[in-house]
Amino acid sequence: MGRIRRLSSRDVEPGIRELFAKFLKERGNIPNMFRTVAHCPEILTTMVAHFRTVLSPGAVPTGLKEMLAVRVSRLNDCDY
Amino acid sequence: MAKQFGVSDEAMAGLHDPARHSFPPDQRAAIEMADAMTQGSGAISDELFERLSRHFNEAQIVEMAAVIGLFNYFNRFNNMFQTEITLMDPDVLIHRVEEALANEEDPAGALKNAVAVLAHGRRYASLALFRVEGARLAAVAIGGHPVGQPGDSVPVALRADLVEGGTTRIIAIPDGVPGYQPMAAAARSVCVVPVRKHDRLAGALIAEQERPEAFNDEDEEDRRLLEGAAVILGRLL
Repeated sequence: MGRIRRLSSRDVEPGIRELFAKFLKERGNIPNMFRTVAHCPEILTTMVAHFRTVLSPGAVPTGLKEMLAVRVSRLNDCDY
Repeated sequence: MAKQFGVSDEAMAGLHDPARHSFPPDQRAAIEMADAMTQGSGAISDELFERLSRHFNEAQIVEMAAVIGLFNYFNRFNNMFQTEITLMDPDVLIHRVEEALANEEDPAGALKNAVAVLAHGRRYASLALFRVEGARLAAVAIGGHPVGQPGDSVPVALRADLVEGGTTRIIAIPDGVPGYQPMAAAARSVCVVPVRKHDRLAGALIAEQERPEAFNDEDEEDRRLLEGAAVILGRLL
């Protein structure tokens, strides 16, 4: 169990509920990290927007971005 | 969170120890940038920046810095809060269960593998497949962690009337229902899904979670997953 309670759709305001619904539709789940950040709705909203922007196709091949993300997660000893 | 973007197994393996893996010069420079920004970002050499500049334009370097910075942010956040890994996507998991069941020469082994795959994919406290034998349900495959923890037990048999009516049941623990003994001591919610074979009730797939009120709301997908898995598992039961 994580240290901070994960919120579910019934716990959050309508805007975040929509954001959750979008994740459910897109990937069949709501990442636990975002359910945790949902305690701070404005941070979650901007975090998700930034996450999508940074990882969407851009100037760098997506595969290389993936590799950088995996490498950083390895160095930080983060399995999430 | 990083793995969801489909990095190949070979590249993943190489990222454990990039110095011992053969990466093209542009990728190697990018990986060194990730290392430098993550470990000692106050002293990144001009040599590395010049090498990056040979392979990438300014927009690309900025974009890579954003990826590296973002994952440092997310990693540290998740390490701080011990965020649990998000469970496997149900569609992907159903596909893996089908793969596990593909070994038709050894149906019993295939069922055990499939239940293990399902249990791991959703991190159930326990998951077991039972076959109806007269008035009882006999365990044929068990996954999760029902064994080896104090107070946990392997259910040899349950009452067959647990699946009477043929619909999915959610059981709250410690309230429970007559005839049901939790497999995992930590179980607080149970989902009992009838398994059919040739339109006849043939068994049950039973999952336990440590959380109260699991298998509700967002976990409705969990219930649907178990019902989908029960249809597939029923073919070999």
